[in-house]
Amino acid sequence: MCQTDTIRLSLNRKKINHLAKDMARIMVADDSDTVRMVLKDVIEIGHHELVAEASNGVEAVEKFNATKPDLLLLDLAMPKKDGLDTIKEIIANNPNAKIVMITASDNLKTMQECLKEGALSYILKPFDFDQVLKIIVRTLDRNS
Amino acid sequence: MSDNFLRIARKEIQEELDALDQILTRCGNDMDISDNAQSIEKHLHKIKGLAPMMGQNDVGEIAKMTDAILKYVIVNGVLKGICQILVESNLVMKEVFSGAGTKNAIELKNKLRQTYPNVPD
Repeated sequence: MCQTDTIRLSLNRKKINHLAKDMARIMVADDSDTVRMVLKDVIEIGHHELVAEASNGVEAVEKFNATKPDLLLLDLAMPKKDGLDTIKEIIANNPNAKIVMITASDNLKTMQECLKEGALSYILKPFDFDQVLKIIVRTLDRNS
Repeated sequence: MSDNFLRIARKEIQEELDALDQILTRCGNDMDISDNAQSIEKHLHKIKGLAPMMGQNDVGEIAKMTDAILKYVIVNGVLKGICQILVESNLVMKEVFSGAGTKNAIELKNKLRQTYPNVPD
């Protein structure tokens, strides 16, 4: 069941042109239950599968290694291990990992650092749900 | 939005507002704010991202503006009047969040822009 009906309504009003050709296995790492709930719904509406959730950086690394998702949506500001260190650790063991940062930060320098360390794109909070789906599909389509 | 989603989102934002309250209660002047700027900014940053997701746009905007001011404090040090204006901002965010109307939020946003015109919102 879609917890956030607003997302479904919002996306239904628009013509969704960026549904994936194939279902992807996606993992979400964010310390906010609210954000994870919203992203879970967006992922389902986009016809993908949520394979794992993590609420801190340490858990994110563990679950990424255990599930090897096609795409990781990763929050920048997380407890135990922040997003930047999490990227470094995941990329060190999985150089082809596809990671999209999630952040409320408009700090360009931080985002550039994340992209330099291996993130492929980023999503700014608060989300535009349509934009989230677009970025997911665009990132999945990229060759590592 | 489902009741479950609203309940969880509400709880998370309320926790951030309460945490801010606790820090601000311990701060008596602008220097105290400067000393605690990073932890205050962390909570404002969370509210900035979460509040608009549940339709609390005024709370999100106030958090965004005060977050920018706190980032300025982190880089540049003490800012005159910051303690008073943060206490006021937190009060207005709590009022708006509890459904008390948006009149004070509009006034506060104007005041923030006038008081700190060099800090981008």
